[in-house]
Amino acid sequence: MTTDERLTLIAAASGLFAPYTGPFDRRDLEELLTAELGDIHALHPAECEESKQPRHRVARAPQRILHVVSGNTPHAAFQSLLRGLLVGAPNHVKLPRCGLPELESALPLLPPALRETIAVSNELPEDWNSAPGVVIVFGNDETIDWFARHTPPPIRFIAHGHRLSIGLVMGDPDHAARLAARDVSLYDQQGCLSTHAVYVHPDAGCSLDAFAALLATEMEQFNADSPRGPLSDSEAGAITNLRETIRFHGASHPEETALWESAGGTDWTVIRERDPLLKPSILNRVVYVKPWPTGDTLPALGPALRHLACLAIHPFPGADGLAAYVSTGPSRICALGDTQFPPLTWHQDGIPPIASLVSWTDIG
Amino acid sequence: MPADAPSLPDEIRSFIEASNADFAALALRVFAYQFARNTPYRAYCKTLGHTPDTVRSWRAIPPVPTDAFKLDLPICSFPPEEATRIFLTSGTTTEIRGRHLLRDLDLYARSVRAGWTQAGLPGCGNAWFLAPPPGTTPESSLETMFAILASDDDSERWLIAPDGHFRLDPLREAASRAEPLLLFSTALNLLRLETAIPDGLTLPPGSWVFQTGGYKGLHRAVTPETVYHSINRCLRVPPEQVINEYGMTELCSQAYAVGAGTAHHLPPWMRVRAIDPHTGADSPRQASGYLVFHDLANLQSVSAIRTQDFGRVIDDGAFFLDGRDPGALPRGCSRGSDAFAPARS
Repeated sequence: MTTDERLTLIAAASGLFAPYTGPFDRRDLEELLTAELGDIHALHPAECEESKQPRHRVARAPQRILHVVSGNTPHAAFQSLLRGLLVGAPNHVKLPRCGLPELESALPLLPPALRETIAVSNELPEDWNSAPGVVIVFGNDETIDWFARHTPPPIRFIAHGHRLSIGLVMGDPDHAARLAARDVSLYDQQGCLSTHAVYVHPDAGCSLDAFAALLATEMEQFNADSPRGPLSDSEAGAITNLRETIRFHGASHPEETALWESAGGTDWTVIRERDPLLKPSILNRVVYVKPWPTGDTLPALGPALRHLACLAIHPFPGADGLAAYVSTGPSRICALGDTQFPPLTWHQDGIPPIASLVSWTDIG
Repeated sequence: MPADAPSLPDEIRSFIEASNADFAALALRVFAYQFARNTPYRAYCKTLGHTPDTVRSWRAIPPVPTDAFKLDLPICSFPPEEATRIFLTSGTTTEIRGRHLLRDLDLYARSVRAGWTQAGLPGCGNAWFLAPPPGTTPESSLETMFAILASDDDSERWLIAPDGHFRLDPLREAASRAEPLLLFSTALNLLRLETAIPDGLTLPPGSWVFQTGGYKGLHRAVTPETVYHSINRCLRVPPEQVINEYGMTELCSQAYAVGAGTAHHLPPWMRVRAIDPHTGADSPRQASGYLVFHDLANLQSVSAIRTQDFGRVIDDGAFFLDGRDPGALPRGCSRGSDAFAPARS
């Protein structure tokens, strides 16, 4: 199948991917390939010859891509598979034991020529680490560590471990609260782009408590419009247990922490803390509100910063005003409210989405 | 109160020794005692709107989540500087460990001894401990409990050296005699014992095994059945001769179950209820929920403790343990004893 044919088929199936990758058309796919490989025909030698232009290098798709996907959200699975289809590699998707219904129901609807390049299983294929190719793993630290130890060097190993995102409010707090509530609540914080904490800049024009109260109001409103999904006993217990622990702490030290919570259930929780130390949320619409440190940011935010996927700012300063924030290490900086909708070209975990999959043969 | 009336600590001591009091009434007095003396607890109760004037039943006494013991707050009903013992929850060096402050060990020791005796458990005259000797980890409530139950100061009875190695010769010698013995251990150390002595060690008929703690920290699937099977295979002690203890750093009293799949029973000075993890309301009888314990022996800290262990309550004094909430951070005595994983037998 040529790259042209493949792009046509993938674009025709964009509706299956769009809920998890954002909408795209053929032009978007061409732009992605061009941005990553320099040329949409870089992957297909025949097309290279037809282009009649001198070639200095040719890209080769891997012999196989193994996608080990997690069960928290289907987004990563769709995004990873889309990239695998774009480069024209045979794809094997190893599903979590609990399955991934969204992906499993979408696959039969793909054009047959694409579908036949995809294998799916709940177990690792026996030859997973003996055939050359690429292994892409989404999972927790334990999973990542296991694959890292068992993937021999000829196989390219791409790991996407635990990630979290944060918001930063620089001003316009009312609007920021609405945008933050959306970033926190979408997908119930199950994705790597989910917002775990919202930081309030000293010049934001509002106190921490005032912003926490605004955010609580917006969390309630969002939940009224888009109720959170059901929770297991364990997930609900984690929330009620944390709430009581925070309540216990705040009762003695109200300056340290305070709690806003949905009435009559665990729908949403806002925790204000004076300490800027970044802490992962226990998920399912539990968010911290913290002060943006005035001094050295990196030490104040602490070791969890290494898991940072996205920093979302409001008002968004534009590219020229972002240099100070790049050092926090996110693979994406965007406007608050857009956190959950990265472009196709997003360098997830700082890794080129297409270029990381191919190998190059230089000519001449 | 008349000048010659017994103090509340005396009344609890008497209750523990003779079961001669009304739990419900005493529990409310303990709540009032702790509300008056335990500053962080009083602040929490006030936030909830619960005071000794409004709480009418022991079930309504606000429980403190175990995670609160990890906060930098002295959850004690005495001046914290008077603490002589601080029990720490298990954890690695990078984890924050819960702290249970005690002014003295009097009520703790009485509760341990009376709880054991009143549960009808076997005598400790020929007890052996698959644990490091007393003093190795004074912050461990389990080590302290073992030391209290030990019948003598014979150092040979402690079968793990301070450096973590098994020293099993004394146990082999004891097993060679006909006298039934009682072997205390964590579940993890029993599993490691099986690895250390693949051929097993047959304990005399009538012997008992005490086991406690969970199995996290092992890189394999372990169930309670696995442990009972391991004990039977390794020590030839059948499940009906195995005592499972439910205890935790934040509680001064323990619950016991004898045999596999049986209920844990509490001493008379302790009650249990289960709460719906979604709402915090009491769960119906036999329905699974987070276990909440009301332990009067916790007079020096706080009597009502909310755990992240799931269980089904049979009545106020007995429950079936379903296990640690899989979403909660690992904890437990077994895990604490990882530091003593023997390198060789």
